[in-house]
Amino acid sequence: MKTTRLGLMAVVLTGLCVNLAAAYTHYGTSVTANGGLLYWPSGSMTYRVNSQAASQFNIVQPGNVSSVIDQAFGIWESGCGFNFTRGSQTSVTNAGYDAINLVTFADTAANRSALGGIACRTILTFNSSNVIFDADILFHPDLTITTVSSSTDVRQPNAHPLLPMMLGQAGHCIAVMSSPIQSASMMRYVAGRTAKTEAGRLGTFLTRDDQIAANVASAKTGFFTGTGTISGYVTLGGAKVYGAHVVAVDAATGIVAAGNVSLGSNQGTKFGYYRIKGLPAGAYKLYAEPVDAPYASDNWEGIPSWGDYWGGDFTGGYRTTFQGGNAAPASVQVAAGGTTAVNLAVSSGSHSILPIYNALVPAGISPAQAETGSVLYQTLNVHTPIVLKPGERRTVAVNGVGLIGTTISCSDPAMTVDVSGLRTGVLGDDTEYLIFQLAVPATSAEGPRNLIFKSGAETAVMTGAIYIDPQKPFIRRNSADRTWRLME
Amino acid sequence: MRYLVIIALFGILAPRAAAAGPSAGPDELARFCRRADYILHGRVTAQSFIRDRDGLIWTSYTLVVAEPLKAPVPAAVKTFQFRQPGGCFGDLRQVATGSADIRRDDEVILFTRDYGAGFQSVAEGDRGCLRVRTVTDARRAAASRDRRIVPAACKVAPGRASIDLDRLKEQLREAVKQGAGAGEAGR
Repeated sequence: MKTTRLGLMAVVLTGLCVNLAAAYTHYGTSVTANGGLLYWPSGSMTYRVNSQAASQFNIVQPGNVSSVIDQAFGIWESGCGFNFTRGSQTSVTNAGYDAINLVTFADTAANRSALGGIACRTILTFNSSNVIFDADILFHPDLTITTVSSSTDVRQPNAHPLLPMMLGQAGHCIAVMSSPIQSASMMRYVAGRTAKTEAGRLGTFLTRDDQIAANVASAKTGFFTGTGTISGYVTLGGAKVYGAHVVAVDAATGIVAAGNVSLGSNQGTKFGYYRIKGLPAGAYKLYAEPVDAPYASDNWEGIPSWGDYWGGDFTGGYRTTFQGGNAAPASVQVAAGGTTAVNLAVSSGSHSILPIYNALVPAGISPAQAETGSVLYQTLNVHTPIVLKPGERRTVAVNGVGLIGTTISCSDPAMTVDVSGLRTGVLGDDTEYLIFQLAVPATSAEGPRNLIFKSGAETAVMTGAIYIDPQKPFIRRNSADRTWRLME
Repeated sequence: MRYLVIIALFGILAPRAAAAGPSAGPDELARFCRRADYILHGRVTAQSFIRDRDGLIWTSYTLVVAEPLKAPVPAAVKTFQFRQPGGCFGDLRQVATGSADIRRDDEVILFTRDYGAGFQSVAEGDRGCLRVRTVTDARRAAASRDRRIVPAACKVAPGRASIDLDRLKEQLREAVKQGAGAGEAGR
């Protein structure tokens, strides 16, 4: 009987939600136009680079600025079929609404004001029918940028690699917004982390999560052919929940497949609704987590106060809840081409376990060594996923609230969480830290994994905190002279 | 105990035993304060939209000032106008990624700067506007660190996981003092 109801619901939802937001795409003003998503009706965008870019004094070579910009747009184009074309250079310097989709590094008062002191931003202009007219990308003229695009090359001191920054901005142009999956290339702080840490290739390619978002936004390839969907409502005591982060994790491998955020009240009957597309057929563990920590509402971009499409503060007052219960999460089956309806009823209460930051300790340092102040300070203060290669064993650190005494695990059952040398303590901001080791099997597949902390019935998840990357490069910045060094 | 908590923390992450380790925290906060023309505590009471000659839409806000923590002129100002990019103009909407989420009736600690266009903008994107909220659960407040507010490098030593409003204002006044007279290159 239950199966029948679920099946009926699946049919209804499939019919209603042709293109409603999935992954981390920007909702439009209209709930109905283009399924509620912002879009370019032509399916293409021509961008033009301000002519000062090539001679910008603080862009350090080697390489060509325009070619890196092309590379970033090209990564999205190859990932979702949306057509990006580079037009001729332009003398237009300032962002605005002028039908020129501008990439500018120009040093003008207007651009400095529009940036307001941040490194880069995208300004999207659209209308109440969700049609995008203009997309401008601004870079701060004081920023030192390098065109060396991959972390596999040694970079200039203090230079920010252009490609990860540009990749994020190019994604914004098609209304792909920031991802709360920590190891996604669209995670908001990706540019900072690639400038500061050994985050590896992240930010220079599209992770699965990024690809799904791109294809929701573009829908020009057969990307979703043969994949399935999980969708439904998140509720708390029967009331719809706005802003729950719902995540599907491959039940066998523990790889984070994709996620979505439940919609706001201005979405009418879709209030509290989530939809996760692009799932290969199989079994998934599904959970909803509040947007408190480690992923706060700042992981989304530019939530505007004039809000005819967001809809107020995210719902609070609930804990991370797995479908089927935190003690023994159920497996949700997804069939190729099908939609599985799952309504997630979350548990009320506030978290007593709240991980905030995680960090990868430099190679060769044990948990005990990592506990010394300088190491812990340097590692636990940036948004950095733990990027590991297959076969690697490394010390990692996590800080947060209520962590001491929790059971630590990884969503990937093949990975080993070694707590034999566990170090715990309290930081200057009253948060607790845990330092332990992770060991990755040599055969691990690429992709994001979760770090999980349990105490009694409560579970907290750091979604996508770990990324296994066989191609992980081996450089890191020397903290003393800020140069980049090959480590292996 | 009931805290008025800024949903953003200036906490340092050095272990207590190593508090004498990296000490960039206070200096960083001082730099952040120095870069701002104004640091104001107040309540947002109105907003309107302006479209400039490039076609950029700005949201202009009115802040009723409760207390100026930094102001370039003697603090007699009771209302204060500031902007950030993004907004509505007729049928047009503009979103500027990284903007602060500022709503009417929000109580805020605001950092602004004139970046050369002749008006005060929210400084450092969404890190320049701290929403003051009442949080009754101190543990939850401790975890509500909002990294939007302060540059990643901006740490205060030795910080606490939750800061009541008075304590934060005291820290900001001290940081403003530290930053005074030190100069700041660039615009």
